[in-house]
Amino acid sequence: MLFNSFQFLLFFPVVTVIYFLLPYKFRWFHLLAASSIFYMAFVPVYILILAFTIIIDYIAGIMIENAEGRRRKGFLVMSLVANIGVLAVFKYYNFFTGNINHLLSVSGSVAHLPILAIILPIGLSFHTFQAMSYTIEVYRNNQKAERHFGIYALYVMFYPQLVAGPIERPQNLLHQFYEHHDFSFENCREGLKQMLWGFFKKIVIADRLALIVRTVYKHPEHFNGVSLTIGTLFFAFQIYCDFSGYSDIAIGAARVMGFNLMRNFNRPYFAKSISEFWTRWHISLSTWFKDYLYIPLGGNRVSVQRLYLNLAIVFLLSGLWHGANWTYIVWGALHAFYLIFGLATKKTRVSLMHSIGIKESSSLNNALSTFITFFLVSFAWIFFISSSLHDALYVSTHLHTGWSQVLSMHGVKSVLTAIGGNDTITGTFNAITGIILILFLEYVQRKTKDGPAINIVQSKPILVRWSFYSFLILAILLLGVYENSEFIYFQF
Amino acid sequence: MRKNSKQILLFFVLVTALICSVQFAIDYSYRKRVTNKFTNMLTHKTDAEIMIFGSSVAYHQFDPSVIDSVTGMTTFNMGWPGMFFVQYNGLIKEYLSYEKKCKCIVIACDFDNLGRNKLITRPDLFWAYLGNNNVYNSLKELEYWKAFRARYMPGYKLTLLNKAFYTDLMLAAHKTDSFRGYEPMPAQWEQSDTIKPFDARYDESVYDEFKTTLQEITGKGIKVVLIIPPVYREGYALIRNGEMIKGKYKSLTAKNIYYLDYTSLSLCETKGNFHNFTHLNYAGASLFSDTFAHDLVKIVHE
Repeated sequence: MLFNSFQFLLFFPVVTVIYFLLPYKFRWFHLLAASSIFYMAFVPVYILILAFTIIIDYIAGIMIENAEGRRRKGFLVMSLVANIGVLAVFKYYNFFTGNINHLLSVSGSVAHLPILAIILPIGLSFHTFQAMSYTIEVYRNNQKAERHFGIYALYVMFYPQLVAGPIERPQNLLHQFYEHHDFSFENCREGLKQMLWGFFKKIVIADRLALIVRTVYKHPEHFNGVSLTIGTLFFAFQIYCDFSGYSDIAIGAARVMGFNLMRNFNRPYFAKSISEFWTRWHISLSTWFKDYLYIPLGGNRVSVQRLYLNLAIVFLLSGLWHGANWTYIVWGALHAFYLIFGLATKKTRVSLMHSIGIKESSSLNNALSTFITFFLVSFAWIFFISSSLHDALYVSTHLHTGWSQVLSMHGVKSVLTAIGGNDTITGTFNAITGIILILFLEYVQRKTKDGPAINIVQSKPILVRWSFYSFLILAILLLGVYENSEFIYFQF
Repeated sequence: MRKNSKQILLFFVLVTALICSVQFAIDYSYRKRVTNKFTNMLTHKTDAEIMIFGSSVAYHQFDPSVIDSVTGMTTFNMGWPGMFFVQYNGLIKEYLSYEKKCKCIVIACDFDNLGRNKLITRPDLFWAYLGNNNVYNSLKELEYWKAFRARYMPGYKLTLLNKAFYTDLMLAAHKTDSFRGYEPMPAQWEQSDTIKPFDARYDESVYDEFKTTLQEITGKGIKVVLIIPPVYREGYALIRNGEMIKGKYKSLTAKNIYYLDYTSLSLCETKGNFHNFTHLNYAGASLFSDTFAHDLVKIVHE
């Protein structure tokens, strides 16, 4: 069930109202049933996969807590193997066998590994990571094993964050299922506001920008550098609004019921460095990799070479987590390269800045750093969105083409026609609305600094606040795109 | 808590009122600004002695000016590509509610005409008229929940308005019918070679509805002519249940209900008369309209 669907419009209030009407002791069951219905709206039979990993991890958690010494590790390994095994089969098997088959055919062999005809279970990468964080935290003695099977199942399946995060930690979420949440006007108001902002970002901004992005990236070889640049920059905001929009809806929906989920985005395009970007983008995933891979590998308390290796491993795996395609691996590798290069050249860059009279804390340096970071991230997005390495390489090597065209009206018109799918009016409308929406988003985020963006009007009179919310609702209805609209991160 | 509850309620009431107002304003503007054959019918402006209904086989093949000149009777073509009986039934009922001139309704019977589409054809042409029961009932037959929500759920219709709707609205589209609803097809043959034999769509419940509508038409003293339009001979061979469908239409023949089958006309042998298997080009349509008009004269003057 998509958040931006009519079914969810009915599902959410019904589930929430029943939640508050039920006695506390029955609420976990109600939420578990609702979450099952939510998940089964996609491919019903895949709930069996979820059930499999839930049972394994539930047992593993208890066994880890009861065991000592090597046996603890054994049960942890059992849990990790089960989760990674499910990921390997459903997400990566065809990728790896496809590559092996390619190598075999190149080497002249007639041997051929079978390709499985399976659909990736929705949200697989998210809930397996959330499940693994549970068993790891129990192993580390940071979390007591959950004895109530239903509560544990709900921890994995809690519908607001089941299919696209935030990837929660047991210390944050599990205990909340035991708390008595009474209806709170403030939670309801703040949750609905956050959901409204999430819907606006997803349905209006992300899906509108997607109209041009899809046109350009479907056949990038048909477009010049101007169109490719527009498509890439629009994608940078599309994926941000799509994913952060989903997170806002998830966090808001949970907040209405009194649950607090972790923040997943913190104005990532305001980052002044790639390392800062990764503390602001998909925070739940980046902290997962930091806590469960990077730090166990030694983190930055190792030699320089080992540090670089650790970063490369983490980001290559992060790329692979996003998808079974070489484009995602290259995307991860690019970010690893950015970080490694940044670390390796930090002293040189600082002294260069000083030599030309730019202080580290100056607004010029901040602006420059933010711009460069955004440029680097956007460049990497080319590999994220391209359907193949060939397309990604084509785009990245043709960004410079056609710029002389835009000096003439005819050139501008031909770009607008191209990005509009051979329709000038569509291209012009989508480009202008896309730019206005991006500027609006940036303005709102700058005004609200670290707080929720929707609170831009928090201190204003009630009429202004209500007008703003009404404007968002009308924009969702009038400017929203409702065809072919899925969340990008659902495919992970 | 009471104050907060009142505030929430007031907010939702005000937002709902705002959405309804915006929706009303858009619908009203569309009805005032946009002119095409559907708006003219739904505002009771279209009336002729011979009215033609059907899908693209009506739209592209019946030239009102030719029929007019042969029969001496005013003719109007209400055909539209992809619009089959379940959808244009609403237009027929609406027309019957106000017509004054009509002597004959011609229904161009596409082989899929008695089937049930899953989707509404060009819904943007009708969203502003959902308050009309005939329009609503016919759209509901195709996409029940979409039509229901569009009519009764504030704001839902706004999510359905597409580029075609807004383009017509913004440009105050005024599509004058110099061809009186008819659109000729280009001469050039365009047909996929990979088309395979198929069964035309047929639904018994649609057939029953069709029969009821014919009775309503004849009940008003208006003659009905059911036409099986020309099909290029090679194309007709691909329709596996073509004879069955024809038989269904033929079985409806009664007093004031006539059946004319043009699939064996000599012009069906010549590819040069066709744009594709099932649609005459402008030259073929002109020839056919002339032949049909001469047959129609005899029926109308009976």
